[in-house]
Amino acid sequence: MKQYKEQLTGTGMVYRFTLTQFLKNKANIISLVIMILFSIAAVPVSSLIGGEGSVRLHSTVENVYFDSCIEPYSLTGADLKNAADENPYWSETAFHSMDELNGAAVPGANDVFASILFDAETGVYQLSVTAAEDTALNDEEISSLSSFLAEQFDQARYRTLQISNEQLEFVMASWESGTQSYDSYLEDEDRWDTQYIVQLIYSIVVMMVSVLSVSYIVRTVIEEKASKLIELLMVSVKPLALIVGKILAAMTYVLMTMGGMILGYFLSRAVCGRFMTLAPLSDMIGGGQFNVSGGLLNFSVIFIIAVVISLLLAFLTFAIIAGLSATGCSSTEDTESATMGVTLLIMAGYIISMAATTSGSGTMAVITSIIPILSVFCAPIHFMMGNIGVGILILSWVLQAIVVILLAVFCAKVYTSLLMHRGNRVKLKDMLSMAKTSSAKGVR
Amino acid sequence: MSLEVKNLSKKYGEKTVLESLSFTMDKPGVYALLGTNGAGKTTSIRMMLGMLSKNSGEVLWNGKPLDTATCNVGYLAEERGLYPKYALMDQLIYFAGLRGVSKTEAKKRIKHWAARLEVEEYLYPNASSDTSSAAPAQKTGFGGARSGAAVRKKKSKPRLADQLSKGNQQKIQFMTALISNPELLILDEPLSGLDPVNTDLFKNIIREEIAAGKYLIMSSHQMATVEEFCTDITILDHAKVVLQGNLNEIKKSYGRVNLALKVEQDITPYITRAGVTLLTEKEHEYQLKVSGEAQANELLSMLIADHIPVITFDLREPSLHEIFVEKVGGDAHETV
Repeated sequence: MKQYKEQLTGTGMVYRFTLTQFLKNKANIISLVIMILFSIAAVPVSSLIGGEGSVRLHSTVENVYFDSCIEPYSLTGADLKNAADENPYWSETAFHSMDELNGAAVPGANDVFASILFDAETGVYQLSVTAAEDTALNDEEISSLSSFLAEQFDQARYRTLQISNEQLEFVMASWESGTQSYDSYLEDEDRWDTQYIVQLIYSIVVMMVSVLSVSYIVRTVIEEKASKLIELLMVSVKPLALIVGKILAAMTYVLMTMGGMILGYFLSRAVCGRFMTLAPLSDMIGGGQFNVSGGLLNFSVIFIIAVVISLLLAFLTFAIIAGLSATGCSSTEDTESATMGVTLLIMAGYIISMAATTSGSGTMAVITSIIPILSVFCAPIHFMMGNIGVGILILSWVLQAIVVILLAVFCAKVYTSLLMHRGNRVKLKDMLSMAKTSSAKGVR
Repeated sequence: MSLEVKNLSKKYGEKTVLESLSFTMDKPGVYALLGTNGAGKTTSIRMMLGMLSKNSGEVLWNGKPLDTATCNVGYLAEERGLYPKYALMDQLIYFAGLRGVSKTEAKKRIKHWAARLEVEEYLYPNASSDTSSAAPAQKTGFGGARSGAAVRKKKSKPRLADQLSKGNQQKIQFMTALISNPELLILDEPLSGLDPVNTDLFKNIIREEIAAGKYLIMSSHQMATVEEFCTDITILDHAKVVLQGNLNEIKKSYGRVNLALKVEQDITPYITRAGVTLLTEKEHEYQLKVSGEAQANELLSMLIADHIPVITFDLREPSLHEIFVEKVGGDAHETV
């Protein structure tokens, strides 16, 4: 323990210096600003572009003039007003009986006429909604209004027949059979959609954090080696402190970048929400193509802890591998090849995690949550969706932590030799040989 | 304080790159590690500093293994390096911080060494521009204030290492070695690549460090410089120690065999008659090799007897360069 403590003396200094240089680097500043601007712009742009799929907080319909001449079912403007008061979406829309119009006024751009008739020949109720010629309302708004009116008319019919809501629920209750019911089918569909989209977003976050960290670590390690600074540094600080300081600095910088992006997104959401109607987060996550069920998104404290721990393990795993890969290089020309191997590993983790989610198999969920590297992508989401329990989640962390420790020990054994290496890029075989030699000697 | 290097050996596979290097420095001074390229000098230094693993041996400072914890070491590596795109001031403060020097103290020391090594304009670019902008303002009289404001420039950006000449980079690197006020200073080829003016600047600082009671280990190919500073030497050849000891004693052991003679006429017949070896001759200035003082005195007697005026008669021990060439033989062609 004392030996490791000595090896880590100076880590704080390396960390502060590396982080300061990351923050001062022009290229980093430009990328950070671009990423934050993207996240800020994402809210208004996605709301404007994806207007069709977004759900507004309030309807833009200002006045509805309603007529229902079907006896004995009575649905009046006052009934609709009461119903609208209980539904925030229609709370800002005024419902009137057609009589209030007195046949004089021409409807405005945000006004509509609506009427329900019964076609005795076909035995079908007909709902017609008519907007002005220069209407500002889109089809989606009119369609929503039609659904609302039809729903209210049905309820009026049931009220007339003196059927209470409980009775109605009882009469309309669905069957549960051995085969999958339609409701269950829909629920599974929602569940699949939710899991897929949440896994996709989480895997992208893990991938972004890992790839960004890897690129920063590789760049800073190779820059130091190529600048022939290693000997100068090694007089003052132990190699392990050098790499740990850099890894921590990269982690802080990436977290700052991600934090900046998230803050920018929510700030933008708060500001944009004052000027335009925004879709709820679950709808935005689904992008209008996936039915993300808000009820399945269990963002509990345990889930957040699970995500943080898994992200940390992912970061450490890929950061140590990146550090080793970069230290085996001697010139800046090797940067790409040093980054490539680790990036491919991250990509493989991402692709397999998505494939496992698509399969929907419970066994697959357990396997991918346990296997190191894959587990950092899969475990938290499978845990949130209830596919795995706390036990499997903890087991996945333990296994991944063992991998991190083994990598750190390996790194400590070969890092000094790798730092002093000059020439062609060191291969894994050579690294193993270095570790073997280091273990045999037991000295640096 | 003392430095002991005991039995230091290093092998890469079957190839021995250093064999049983041992020496002791029990008082302040300069110890020279000499050798041809690839003889094992830099390897020895790296092993002493713990950068390379040893196959055998130990390095002790005051009886304890040499380490950053036991000894304040300053090191000027053979491979010079600075972060090319980072501000020089940031780098110096960082290196000082790694050696346990506080930021405030580091800034003081940087200022001192910047002045001493004449690199202030690179470390304090705004200080020089402020001074230059103030001067014309004063000269312009009552219009000075206005011109001063007009001349006031925006702050200069901090200088980066890759904007400096090689010599100035070397000065900054020398500062990094000196900034922690080290007890033990290891200089690997400190004067290579420097112009004569900067060579003198470095030499003066080395002299000051010696006077301050520091322990210096120097590796160099410049024999004249080593001779100027070093009290003890080790000459390495093909990983082995071929000569080691106090420089004066080594020289004494060779005897006074170098004779520099300046006369006003050709004395070649006398030289031949005395059996002295003629090395070089230029306008009656002769460099001769004698077997000893007796042979030199015999030649002098012959010249005096024939009334030949002797302007210079300088009998000396062999130079380190000659000793080095003699010891490492054909390999010495690579030395400067």
